[in-house]
Amino acid sequence: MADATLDTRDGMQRTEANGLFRGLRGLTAAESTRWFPWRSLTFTALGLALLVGNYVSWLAQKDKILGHLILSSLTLWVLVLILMTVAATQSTVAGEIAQGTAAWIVAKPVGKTAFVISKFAALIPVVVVAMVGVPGVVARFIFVAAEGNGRTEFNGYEVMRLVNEPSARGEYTTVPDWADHLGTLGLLMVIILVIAAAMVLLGCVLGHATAIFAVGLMIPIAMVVLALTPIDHQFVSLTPAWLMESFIDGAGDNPAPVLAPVVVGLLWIAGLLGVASWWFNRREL
Amino acid sequence: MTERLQAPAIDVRGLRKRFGRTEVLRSVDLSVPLNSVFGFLGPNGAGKTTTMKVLVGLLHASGGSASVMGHDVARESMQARAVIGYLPQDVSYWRHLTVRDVLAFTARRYLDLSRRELHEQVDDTIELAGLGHLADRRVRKLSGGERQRLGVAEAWVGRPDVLILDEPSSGLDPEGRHEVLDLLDRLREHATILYSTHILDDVERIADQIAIIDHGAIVAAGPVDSFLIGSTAIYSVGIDGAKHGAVDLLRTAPWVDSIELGSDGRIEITVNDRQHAEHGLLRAFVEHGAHVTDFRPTRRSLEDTYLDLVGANDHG
Repeated sequence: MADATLDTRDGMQRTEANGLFRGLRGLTAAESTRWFPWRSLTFTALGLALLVGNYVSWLAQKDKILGHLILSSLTLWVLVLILMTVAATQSTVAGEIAQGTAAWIVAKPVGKTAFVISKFAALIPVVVVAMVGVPGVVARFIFVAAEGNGRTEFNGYEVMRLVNEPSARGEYTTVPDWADHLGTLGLLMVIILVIAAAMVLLGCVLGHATAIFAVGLMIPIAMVVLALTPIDHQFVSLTPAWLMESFIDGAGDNPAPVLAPVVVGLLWIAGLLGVASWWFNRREL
Repeated sequence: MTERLQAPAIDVRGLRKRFGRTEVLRSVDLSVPLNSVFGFLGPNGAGKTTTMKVLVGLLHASGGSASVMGHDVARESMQARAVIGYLPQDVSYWRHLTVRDVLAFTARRYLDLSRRELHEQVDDTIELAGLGHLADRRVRKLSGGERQRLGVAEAWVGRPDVLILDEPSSGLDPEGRHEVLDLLDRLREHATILYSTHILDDVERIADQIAIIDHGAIVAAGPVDSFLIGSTAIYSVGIDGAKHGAVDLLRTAPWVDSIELGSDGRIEITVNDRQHAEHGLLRAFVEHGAHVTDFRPTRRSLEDTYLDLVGANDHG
């Protein structure tokens, strides 16, 4: 990776001049500053909403109608989460190309691949800390306070069982939820990152207006999917728990290990970013 | 090593660029000498920005080759960009950054500096560009002139060997233009400068060399003086006494294009061959008994030459 480093005329040393990833760390750090504070706070709020939504949904099991209402509202929450991720990430590449800041950056000695990856890399700490870490820590205290033993009913894999099999409620008080909770949040994080990687790719391939159009198209598609979902499932069909189950193996009572979907998710991310980088390296600005 | 030093800072040969069916660069040949200030002229759409974008790797050439400080811009794009400071025509920054942030961000991309050295580097550049009072202002609050000065300073903060500046003084009021040109004048000791512009007065003021591009090809290139003099010239002659005999004789000379008699007794003679004119004009007047009180070539403006070249190409 090291390059024949040349000195400037006045004797200063230039940074190494080779590599697709040249400048990745600096670009990621610079990109991260754009996520603070408002975008990060918004993601934190969404993470906390996930926590509250799931906790309240358990409380609502005592009242079926109230439970359905709350679970339905979670549908909206998931849509907001997905759209928030989409909206926040589509502008990172497509928006920068449209505004000319992408050209401003890649005319410098930085790798175009580094530019693309930095857009994604800057999102990781935001998702980990704001969406998963903060709600996770908060959940730890809330659940301990609520149950007195650090165990709660919050279990992303088995919310459907909780809904469909009231008799199962009793099981949850003994489930060591902290690991499940982290697993759920981890999976959620992977889903968000896959969406973000897809949006980075979209930004590299499409123009800004087209990317916005594609994002806008997702809303009616989601509505159609929702409308076509059988009514019995609609209340929970787009809740985080359902997403988790679908992501694993589609069987609510047979949760697979978290590792497998995480690995699959990471492979998707690598593939999406690889194509995005390849495309961006070919693209003229 | 000697060969490397004597090579041009920018060497472009037969550069071509197509956008679909449109051929924007037909065959551009450009040689920018080391340590020169090189004015790149041409009408809108002639290919100036496209050429510059190919040099900094934002566009891929359809043919030909280009190198900067010996680095091929296609095969060694990163190495080439490492020695280029670039100011785009419509520069955009991240709006949340301050002037100091922009310069620090750019300096880090080019130079391996400690935190203390980075601060010094940024401070030096801020001082050079006269941006001291704006150092902590966000870029979105800068005026057009301030933004352009920041653009030039930012191109320079990485201490590149070559500055490529796309219309650094366009759209500025006279004071803003003056400030940007002053800044370029200060930088000429430190780097080779290639800059494009529509403002011919600016070129005359600071450029050593010029290239004029039109319809995607270079139509003329060389030292500024060669454009100001050229083979066509106007001589202003002051005469005491009879002059009509000499004027009649000169009208028949093949190297005289036109003769205008001024009301103040001066005669303006446009010639197409300076060498013949230098000898033949004075002799004609002296032989016809005229007393020449004043004889001087009138400086031809760059605008005249530019319009001749670009205009000829338009109608050719």
